[in-house]
Amino acid sequence: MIGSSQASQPRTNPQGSDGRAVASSVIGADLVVVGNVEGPGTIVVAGAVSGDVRGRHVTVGPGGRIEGSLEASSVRVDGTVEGPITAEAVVVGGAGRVVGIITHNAITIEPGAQVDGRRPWRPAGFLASKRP
Amino acid sequence: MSVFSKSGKPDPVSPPSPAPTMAAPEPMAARPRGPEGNSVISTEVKIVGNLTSTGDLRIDGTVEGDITSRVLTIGEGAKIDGSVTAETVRISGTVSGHIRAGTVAIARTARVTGDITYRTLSVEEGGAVEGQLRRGEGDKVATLRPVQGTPAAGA
Repeated sequence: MIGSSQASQPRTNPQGSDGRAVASSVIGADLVVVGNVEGPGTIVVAGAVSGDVRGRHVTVGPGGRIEGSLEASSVRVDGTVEGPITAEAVVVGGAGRVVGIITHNAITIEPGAQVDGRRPWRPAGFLASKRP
Repeated sequence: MSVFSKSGKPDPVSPPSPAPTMAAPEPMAARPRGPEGNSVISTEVKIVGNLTSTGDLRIDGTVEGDITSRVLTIGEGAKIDGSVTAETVRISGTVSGHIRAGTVAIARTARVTGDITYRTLSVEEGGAVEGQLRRGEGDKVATLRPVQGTPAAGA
């Protein structure tokens, strides 16, 4: 099952409303979502989302694409995000492309990444205090 | 390896590892795919909108919208509020909406409210269906592109 092997388990396991560890979701390369996606755990976007994505750890894979806002505790972009990103930790990989404002506490932009937009910094924990 | 060679095997330049205070998600390659298929919407994830897949899709969460897939598995905890279109669908959860598929398998824990148009239908003891059951002749889901150009399975 996704997320159950040692290698892929994130260090901090996201917890669902009942306290149990939450499995990862994968929006595969052959899936297109037109609408908003929201969950308490890990979301891997290898396909396309035309709408807002909200999760705990969100990875946009090399062919993945989000057209809309992205909000998470940590975000890794190796694909394309067109819209604002709000996250404590953001990593934009060498193949990543972001067009939009990135509100963050920690950001890493790897060589080759295309990032177009302001990148306002916020103190640690800003996202937790923003969320209800 | 030559003694005079300066450059033996070059050390691979490791990409700068992300070092934010929170655990960053690992790159995509490390993540295994679920055995049920290419996409998985896990429990506690809610999607408000439509999903269209040309591959396999497993849903354990909540979807308010229409779903189109080649092979679709609706898990026991899943709640779908919208129509479902697939070549093959296996339902163990709750669906409120019409279902149009080639092969339909309704499991013991399924609760379906809506009409089902099918080519092949099975209902496990305990599965609940409220709606019309219509057998469609050659009702293949023509809207879906066959994967990699091969003819889609089935008649």
